[in-house]
Amino acid sequence: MLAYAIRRLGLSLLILIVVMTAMYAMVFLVPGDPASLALGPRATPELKEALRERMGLDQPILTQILYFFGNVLQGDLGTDVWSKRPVLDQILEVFPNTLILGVVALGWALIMGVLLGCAAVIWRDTLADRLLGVLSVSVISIPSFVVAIYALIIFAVWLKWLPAIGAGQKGDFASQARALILPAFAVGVGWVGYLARLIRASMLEVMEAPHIRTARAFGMSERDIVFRHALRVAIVPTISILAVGFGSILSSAVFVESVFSRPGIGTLITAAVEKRNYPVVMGTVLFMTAFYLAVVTAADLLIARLDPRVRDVLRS
Amino acid sequence: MHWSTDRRGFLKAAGAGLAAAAAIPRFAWAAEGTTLRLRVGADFQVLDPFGIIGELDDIIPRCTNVTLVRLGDMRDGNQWRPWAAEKIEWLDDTRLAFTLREGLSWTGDYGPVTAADVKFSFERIAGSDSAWAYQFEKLKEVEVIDDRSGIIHLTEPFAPFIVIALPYYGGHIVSQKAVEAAGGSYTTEIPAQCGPYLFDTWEQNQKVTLKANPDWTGEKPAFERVEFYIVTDDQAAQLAYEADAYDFTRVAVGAAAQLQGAMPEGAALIEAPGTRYAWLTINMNAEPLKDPRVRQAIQYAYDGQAVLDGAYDGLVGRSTGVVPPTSGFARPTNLIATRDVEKAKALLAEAGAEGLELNLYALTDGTSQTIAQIIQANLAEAGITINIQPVDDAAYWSLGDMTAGEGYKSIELVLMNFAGGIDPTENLVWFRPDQIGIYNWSFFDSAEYESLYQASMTEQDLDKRRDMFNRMEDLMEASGGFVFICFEPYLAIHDADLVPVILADGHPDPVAFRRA
Repeated sequence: MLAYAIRRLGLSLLILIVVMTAMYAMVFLVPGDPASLALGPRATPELKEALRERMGLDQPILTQILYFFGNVLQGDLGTDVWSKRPVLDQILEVFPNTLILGVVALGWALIMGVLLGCAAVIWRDTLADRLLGVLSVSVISIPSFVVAIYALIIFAVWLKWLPAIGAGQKGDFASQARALILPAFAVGVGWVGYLARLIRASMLEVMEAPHIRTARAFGMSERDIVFRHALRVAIVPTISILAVGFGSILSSAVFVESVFSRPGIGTLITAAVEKRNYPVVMGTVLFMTAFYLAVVTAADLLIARLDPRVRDVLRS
Repeated sequence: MHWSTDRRGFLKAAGAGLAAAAAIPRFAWAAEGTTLRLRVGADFQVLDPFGIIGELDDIIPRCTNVTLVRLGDMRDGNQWRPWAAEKIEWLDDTRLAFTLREGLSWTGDYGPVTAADVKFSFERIAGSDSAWAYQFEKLKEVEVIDDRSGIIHLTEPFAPFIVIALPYYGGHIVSQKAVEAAGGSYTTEIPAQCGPYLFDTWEQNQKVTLKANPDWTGEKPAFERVEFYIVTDDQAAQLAYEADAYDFTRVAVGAAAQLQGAMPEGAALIEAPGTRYAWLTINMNAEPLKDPRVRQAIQYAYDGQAVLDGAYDGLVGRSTGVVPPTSGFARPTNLIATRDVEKAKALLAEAGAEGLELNLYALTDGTSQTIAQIIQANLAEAGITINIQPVDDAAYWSLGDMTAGEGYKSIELVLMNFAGGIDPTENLVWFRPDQIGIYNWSFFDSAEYESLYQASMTEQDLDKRRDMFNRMEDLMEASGGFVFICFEPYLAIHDADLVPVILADGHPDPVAFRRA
């Protein structure tokens, strides 16, 4: 188990280095001069040159990459060219917003997905099951930013129930909770359909298991069988998928944050890319890649610890 | 734990939830009443007037710092009035005397605003590598008479100095002591403030809040607080306005027709001629465009009305150059004012350029792409194939930049637009020969233009200046390097009971906003 954990962590580190090197190369392949963009159409060539120097863009790419990794090892993700604030500070300031959005989105999607999946099993092969199937596939295929725009139009513009932009007033929990509803809905809605289908498929398999047949033989109601016995088993593969899916949730959050002008990693990185603010782009990508790898690695280690079959494979 | 559910229970809970949601009162995003909520398109980057770049970079110092004079609404002709100056008057053609108002003081321990601060503020920008050095091109020095009085000396007569240099950007006064203590410049933290508002909070990429300055002795602004909401996209911003996220926002030109048809309740629309000028750059240095007949063919094939109708909903007329029509100095007409496709074809045949294929670079926004597509169709009628190359902001500004490689020599066609100034020289400056490889992407290189530009800077006779500007624009058009499109309309929506003030650069002046 320890050897597996070390191997897994080593692999994560390697992925991180490969991603960052590729990212660095890509950043410099993208056309566009950050100094020209940042300083606007009236900047003098001298001013632009000075900014390029400040951003380290006058150095060879390899030097820049080595310098970047050297700093990262010392816990320094760089400094924002404009605000002169440490990139890490900026990330830590907005990351909780993205994390909360992701967790709430995944949370409500899981609850709804489980309920709908179970309902589909209880009403299997009926019209309701088919309708739930169509509905699930439909919401899976709608991109989160489209849901976000329509949610914004309906609930913020027409009905005026919820705020259209922002993350709510600082220190006002109710305001922050209201500001979270639409973005979390938009990010999570696709996962409701996905999880509902997943739960239904797992449940149908479990419902054929001997212990379920035994429960039926004892005269238990179908609802009790589904919620008390089948779901416990059927939900295991779903949980392992959730860890991997959290990455996709965070990607959706990037788009949704832009639609709702909500502070978070999405708006931070979008603004940085638009302005070619390289230190912020690199620092944010590194942070998010590391975070995602940590989640996936933790999930893998947890599964290895909990699932005896995986333990057996590791031993062999 | 035993957990169970039944259909009735679920329906009851869902019904209660929906009822509760319906009962939520209309969400008020910010404190109302004495709070002014404005939407801006991007977060600020540099607040030091030396390095100001964009929209919010200039709006915030308007609130937290002072300028000697301040401009009025662009719709009222950009009239200037003394602001930090109690008195400002020309002693002669090259000497401008000013006296600061009493009671202006810096935050912190930096004391009153002095004439020495004015001298420091202007002279640190003049002749420097600041983007705003051009504002002080004619500044010789600022002579300090006493704490509150001084004389601005110019190298030669230049009447527009007051409106070009003093009201905004580099014209903002900073505290010499505070800036020097900060190391000579600053970015996001203003070391000392003296305006009607003070910088309060900043939520990066989301919101900036200013609060009233209790020590401000001038005319009190109408609002206790000003909140700026950062929303990049115009259409998203319009939706958020309709959801009562703020009181004022610019909107996309394409939204005009929709808004005129159905204005949001309680809202008013500002529809005014703007100072931002748009044109098509034809790079006469690019190989396929070196023959003037080819460039002229493009000018003849261009359908100005189609572009105005298609991209601007017919809200504006065709421009005759880069000098704003509202300035009174604009040309009466273009040299090639009428479309003539047959003539374009004949010119191409004469130049042996049939089957010409060109790249047209345009920003990715809706208006730019619409214009590009219309031009593509226009030129196709004359037998020119246009490949549209959409580029994002960052890549776009490198196209004609000589420090970004050799590409600037061979770019072919580019759709461009610049924010304009009040005096024509502020717009004409970018087409001087020394701007080739910087902002003169047409490679327009005219000695006569340069000499007229220099002469127009000091000429005091308005008619003579008009003739000079008209001739300069004739030269631009005759070179074949330009197709003038229009001065883009300014569109914004705001609460009907709000009286906004928009400055010449299209940015709001929150200090002057008031309730009707």
